[in-house]
Amino acid sequence: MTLVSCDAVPASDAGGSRMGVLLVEDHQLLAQSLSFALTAEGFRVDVAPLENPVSVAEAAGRLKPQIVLLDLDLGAAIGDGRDLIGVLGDGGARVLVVSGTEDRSRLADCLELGAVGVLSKSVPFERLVQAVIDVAADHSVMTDFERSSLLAQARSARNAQRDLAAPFQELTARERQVLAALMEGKSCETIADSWFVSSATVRTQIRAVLTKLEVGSQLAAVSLAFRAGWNAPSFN
Amino acid sequence: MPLHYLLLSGNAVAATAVGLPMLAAYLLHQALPIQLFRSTQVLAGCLFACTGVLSLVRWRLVGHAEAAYVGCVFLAFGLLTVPLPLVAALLPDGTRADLVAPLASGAVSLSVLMLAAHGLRSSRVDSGLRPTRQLLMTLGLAAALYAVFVSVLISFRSGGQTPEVLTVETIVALGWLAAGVICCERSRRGLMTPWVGFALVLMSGQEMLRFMTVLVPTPWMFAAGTLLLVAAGVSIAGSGSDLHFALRDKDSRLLSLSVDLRASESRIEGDRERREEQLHDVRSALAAIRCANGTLHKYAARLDERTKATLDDALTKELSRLEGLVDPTLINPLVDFRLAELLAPIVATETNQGSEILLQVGDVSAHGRPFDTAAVIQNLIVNARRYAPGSVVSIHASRVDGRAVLQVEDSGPGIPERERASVFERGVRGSSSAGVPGTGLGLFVSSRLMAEQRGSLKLRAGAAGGACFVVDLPAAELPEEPFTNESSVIEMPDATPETSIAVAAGRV
Repeated sequence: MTLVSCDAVPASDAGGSRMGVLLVEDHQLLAQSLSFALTAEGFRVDVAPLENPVSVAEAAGRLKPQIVLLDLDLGAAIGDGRDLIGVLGDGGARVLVVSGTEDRSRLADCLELGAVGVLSKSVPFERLVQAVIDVAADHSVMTDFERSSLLAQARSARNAQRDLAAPFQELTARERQVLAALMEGKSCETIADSWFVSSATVRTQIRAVLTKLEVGSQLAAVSLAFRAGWNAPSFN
Repeated sequence: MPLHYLLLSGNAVAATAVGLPMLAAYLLHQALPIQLFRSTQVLAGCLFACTGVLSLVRWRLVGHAEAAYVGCVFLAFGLLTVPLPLVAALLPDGTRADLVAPLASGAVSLSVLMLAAHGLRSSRVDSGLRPTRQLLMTLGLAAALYAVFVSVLISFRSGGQTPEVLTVETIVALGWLAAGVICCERSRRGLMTPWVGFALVLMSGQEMLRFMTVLVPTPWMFAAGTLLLVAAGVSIAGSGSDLHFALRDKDSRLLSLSVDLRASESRIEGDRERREEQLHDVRSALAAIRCANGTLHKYAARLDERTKATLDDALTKELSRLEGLVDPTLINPLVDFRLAELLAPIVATETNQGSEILLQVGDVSAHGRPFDTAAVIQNLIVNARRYAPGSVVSIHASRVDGRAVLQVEDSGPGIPERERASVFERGVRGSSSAGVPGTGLGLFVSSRLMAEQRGSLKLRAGAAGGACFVVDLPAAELPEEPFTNESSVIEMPDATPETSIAVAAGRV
């Protein structure tokens, strides 16, 4: 995608004093129509080239926009828009995230990374344009309640995940390997055979895993590992 | 190595199982020389009943019919053996005790042997098995046999051992021996736990020794009693260690089940993620259309004609893309295709994989998605190979009332009627699939794929007792442009309804 020049007739103002808006959006029609609409509202609008993260940062550095409208799902070449918030914010732009995602923790991340607000793509068109005008006028686009509840929710979800994962930190390398093998459905004897150790040794290691994870059976240990999203170490 | 592993690992158990009963028999002989055989019978009966209970517990744990029948046989035998010595004691005066006791024992052994014979013919897993019923039937049978024997005895009231008693004892001894040999053979093939055959052969030996008591009572009585106790010792030790291993394996079996479950979950998750992505695409398209529409309306006065035309054009294009996202049939259309042409490459592939397939499709054409249908048929063939190994898969097509109907039938164990409806549910596997790798997603996805192309996938009992899957699609009218899989079309003989191509394993 290349820079789209805007053919819309400017509403007012001469070039210099207009506010710069950079659209980082991979959906062509949305980028196109938003740029027409915002141009009509009196903004200087550019659409960032989405070849790679560097091209977006370069465009932001060159154009020095005051406002960036950022999508989060930017295709395979760039990936997650969250990684761009820092760079764009450092350039002095106010970043408004406009995304189709429903993932609350992802949206909360954006706020923590310095976005001025997050907005769903499913809001009415007028509200979208109004939000850009609000950001330009330094008004907030989210209420304090919306912002704090989103942040609190994401934080508690993260804490719960961390508590669940904590006991796994205490496992030794060998115990991690044993747990990983159990997660693949291997029995104690199979593990012992493939490592050339006695099954009594493996049983001792399994007991150590159960003690550290505070569970009563191999099955409970495996299900806890799956629930905590614990990733097995790679080994042979 | 921990002590209990050493104890359970063979020789020590065998030595205990044989040594302890011998010692018990000797001690009993010292204490009650005259009542010896009756006391050993009571003791052995108790041990056999315990063996039966342990085996039934193992059946609850592992679900193999073999464990249930072994449990029933030993429990019934134990329960009936304990009161046997009392039968003689409770007889009214004037009855010949030396005749009644062996007849009662013969009735018990024969009824238990019948149960054993019934058990040996059962399948590996029988979800309809009710051990209580088997047990009660055996007890009833024993009582009936006893009544018959006694009435026969009464009609031949003569002195000495009557020939009838000898005949019954011979039949019983040979019955135990036959059952023992069959069990040994089955355990050699890994179908049964090894101690059962051994115990049954010992029982037969015991029965033969009692035969000898006709000649010289005391020493043979002692030997028979000892052998009976040894058989009981072997049974209780064997069933105990079986149960121990079943308990130990339970955890790892649950573990592998949960890993299986996890695998199917992650496939469902993948499915869900793909749909989520699609939904995301739809939402983006909607947002863009809304935005373009808003721009066109709200800023109509401020946009020049060329911009309006550009936006209008892009809007129309986006609408048709959205249509494609919502209705996948626009992307993956339904076409007419010939079943014979569709099936030939699959049959060739699966025959190479070891399936034996009998193809009988004639010239039937269907209207649907050839690639999806091919995937469904292939899945059915793979299932047949997996769950009915070695059976011939016959594929038969016909045209019924404007539908193209394909039957894929195997000659395997089939699927019990009450499980037939549930096999198409997500993640469900039949009772006989325990120990066979798989995630249980195939039939669910298959039936969905068929429903999406206005067809269906059903299951009914096959003529030969196997599973018979019926794939059904709208029949093609006159196929103008039949689907051909150009890269792998196999030359088919002139297709007539009677054409039958037998493809034996390895010939293609």
